Amino acid sequence: MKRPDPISLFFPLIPAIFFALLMGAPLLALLYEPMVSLIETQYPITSVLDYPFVNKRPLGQYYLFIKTPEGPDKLIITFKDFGIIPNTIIIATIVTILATIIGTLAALITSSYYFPGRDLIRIVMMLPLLYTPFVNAFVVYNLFGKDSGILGAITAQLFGVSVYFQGIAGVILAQTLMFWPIVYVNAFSSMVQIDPSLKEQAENLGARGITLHRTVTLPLALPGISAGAALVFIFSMEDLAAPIAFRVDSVMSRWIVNEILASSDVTTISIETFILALILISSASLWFIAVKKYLSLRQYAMMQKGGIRERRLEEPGRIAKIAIYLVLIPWVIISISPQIGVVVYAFSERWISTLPEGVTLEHMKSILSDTRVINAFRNSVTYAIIASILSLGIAVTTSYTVERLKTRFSEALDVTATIPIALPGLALALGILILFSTRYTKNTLLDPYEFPAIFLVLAYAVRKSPFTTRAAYAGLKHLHKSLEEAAMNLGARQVRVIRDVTLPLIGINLLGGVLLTFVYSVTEVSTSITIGGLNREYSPITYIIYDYVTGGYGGGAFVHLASAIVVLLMALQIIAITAVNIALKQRYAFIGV
Amino acid sequence: MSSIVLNRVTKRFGKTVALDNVTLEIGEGEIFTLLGPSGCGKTTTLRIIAGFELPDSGSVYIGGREVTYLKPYSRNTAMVFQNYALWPHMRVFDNIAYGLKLRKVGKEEIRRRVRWAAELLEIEHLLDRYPHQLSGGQQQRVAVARAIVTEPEVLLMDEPLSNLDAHLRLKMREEIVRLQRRLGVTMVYVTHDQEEALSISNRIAVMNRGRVEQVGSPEEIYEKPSTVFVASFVGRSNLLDGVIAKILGGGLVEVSIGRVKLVGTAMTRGLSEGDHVKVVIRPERVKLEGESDVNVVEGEVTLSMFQGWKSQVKMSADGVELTIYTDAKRAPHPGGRLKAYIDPEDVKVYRSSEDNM
Repeated sequence: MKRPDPISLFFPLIPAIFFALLMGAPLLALLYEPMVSLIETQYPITSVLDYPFVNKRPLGQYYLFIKTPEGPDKLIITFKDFGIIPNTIIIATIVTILATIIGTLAALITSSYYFPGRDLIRIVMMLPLLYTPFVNAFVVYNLFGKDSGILGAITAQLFGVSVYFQGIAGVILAQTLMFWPIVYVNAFSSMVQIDPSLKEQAENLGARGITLHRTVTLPLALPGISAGAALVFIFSMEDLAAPIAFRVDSVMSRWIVNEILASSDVTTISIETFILALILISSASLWFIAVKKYLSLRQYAMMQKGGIRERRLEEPGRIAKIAIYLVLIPWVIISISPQIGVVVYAFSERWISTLPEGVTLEHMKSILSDTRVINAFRNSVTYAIIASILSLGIAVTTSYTVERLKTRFSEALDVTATIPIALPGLALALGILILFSTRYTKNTLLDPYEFPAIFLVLAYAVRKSPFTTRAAYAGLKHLHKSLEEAAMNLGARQVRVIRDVTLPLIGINLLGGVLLTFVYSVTEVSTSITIGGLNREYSPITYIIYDYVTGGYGGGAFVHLASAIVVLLMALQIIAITAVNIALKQRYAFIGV
Repeated sequence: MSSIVLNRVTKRFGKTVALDNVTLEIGEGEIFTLLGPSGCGKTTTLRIIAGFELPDSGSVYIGGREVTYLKPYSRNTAMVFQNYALWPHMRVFDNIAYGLKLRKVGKEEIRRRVRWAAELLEIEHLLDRYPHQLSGGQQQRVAVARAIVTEPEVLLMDEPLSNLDAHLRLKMREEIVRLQRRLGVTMVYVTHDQEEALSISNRIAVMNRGRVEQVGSPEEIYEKPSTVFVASFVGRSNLLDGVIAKILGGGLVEVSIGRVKLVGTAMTRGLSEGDHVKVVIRPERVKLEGESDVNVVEGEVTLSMFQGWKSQVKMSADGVELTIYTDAKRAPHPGGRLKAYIDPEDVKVYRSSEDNM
């Protein structure tokens, strides 16, 4: 009789239970709670179709032109306020379209053409992917969102009209600058994986330039592009930084966070908040559809057998040259301005007019001597370490089940373990609050209002485990099965084989993955500023930054302090990512599929 | 149909010299094979003809027109890649039609010509499928159909059969030859399989370490290999070290191989007594019967392996090992004594140099 090995029962169960309890259950609770209330209280569903959620009559203008008697005129690009729900969707849609066009173009150019400084540009394009919670958007505001900003100053000089962005238009600008590299990274890695002979064959038959890209490169890179685009859509909906910096209150993310932070327990959170969170989740399903297609297409086309060689880089033609020097490079410089600006904020005395003034270490000194900041750093690091250890367990069991055991559940588990990348953290936070606000948990360790630490650790582990899991997959894929079979053949049981052969051989991959999980946990925003704000004693560092930027308005001293904290976070990320790149010899350690 | 000329082409990749001063003339309508071990430069040569690589020096002509620095898309060559390179996002029909669409051929004409190519390769029933729904052999046919449908001047084949199983390979080999005869197109064929090269080619260039060792008809390459490398790479050979004992005149020399003395044909000019040489003897040219008293070697049978229509016999004569192919039914048994007769014409003598292995 065939007896199943205990490993093949035990291994799939660990991640299955983990994700069922911490991802499935909270999301179900989120779905269930409003339904019950809707029935019990006969809540009029139409209220979410009215102000402030939907404005029957949009407020404001698309742009404002102000004539001033002395000094330059002003052209302020804003946008109409259509209400919380339409605003969020409009912003996410426009940002996604812009980010997709820019990211795909940048990927096409850097993957096909050789030009001086190409490698430098490729590294610089990664900079916007460094998490700089909240403050990056303030830099965008400072540069492009005020009369005396750099954009306004330059246009006033050149055309006599000071042009700048405010309101929703500013949010769109800031988010496009922040998120386009996500499309870039995914599109680029899709493009370089295309078997070079597929492009050469087209050239051989007479295709060139744009025709070649339109008929072969883009269709083959479409899976990567669409996965990246869907991520941008979700990230835009969840983003808080840009709306805070541009003082836009009427978006879903801000409503949800404000409701949670103002609540004394879960019953005081309004029913509309749950409905908004449900809309947020359904946007994640968009991503799921895109990725599902990606997974089914993953094997096909990419690096077939035999005759594989490095793709030659072309000398750019005239159109490509124009795109490189007049579009790509200036755009990349604009895109890294928030990261540079954060450093400028952290070390300058004032930045109220066009240029910053004075160099100082005061901000750095004052945060390093603030016990609240130090305590929050300690909290974040502690939570992140425990979350990393948990994610290690999840990664090993998941990847081994998917890559080696190949049970009936392997495919489902594969998908489940990837979902957290696209799972809106605000929805997860709300789900956890509902799930653990019961009579039985009240005032115990399991009450998120009293003791948020446990829930932050678990939320980090759920949200950031895909980084470790993906690294583990990569390790197992490259580890030839025969090495394990040889040990088994000599009489080692499966557990023993895993311990003696598998784990040591993929150790470096696991280390890299854990490091990423760690830094991305420390910089996590959505659950940190919601659950993490419920009891100040347990707040993580990102909540402190949030508190600073929402307390002191743009340009104020608080932004300098927040920037000083973020500079430390950036340093942490650069160290970790460099270490991972050296260890894994891979460049795409960032967000991507 | 066009001739192809490579004139003193050199190509380096970093420090490695992939092609070292290669000159080739390929005639119109010919099947010309580039044969050699992996890394010998045969694929690089093909890619230079296609325009995927540019030579560091030298020039390339197709049909009398210089194309050395022309882009791949302006050369009117068609290549069949080793991995077929079918576009996975296009149906078979669209794969084949691609080159025609780029040439702005009318819709009706495209349909007609795709059908023509598909019929030629017996894949009419597959036109609506996607590449991943096809077997390896079918993918191969689609790749060939896509290449010929544009009526290229030159058809370039990069080890097109290496991913097929042995049986299918033989069948496709015949079909490719038949197709080329029918279209009359100039074909450059890259392979490392010497049997494939011998059976399909009009002419073969044997390449080694970026150089052309010999160009000739399959018969010339097999019967009169001009270097030890060609002799040992094409067909099976006994490769023995010896010293010239005597110059006999008439192109014949006497060679001492250990304690065995053989009369052979000098393949290198200017050999003199005492020169160190390589001696090449084809196993199938060693006879077990004969009347001549020149080149009779006596020894012990050390091994006898049945191989179907022939047997491979190994004998040891005064310390010299010799492999012999013989009729399987009459193969001697190990341990027995054996007399082997070798015609001096079949004992080929080359000067030893560092270069010949």
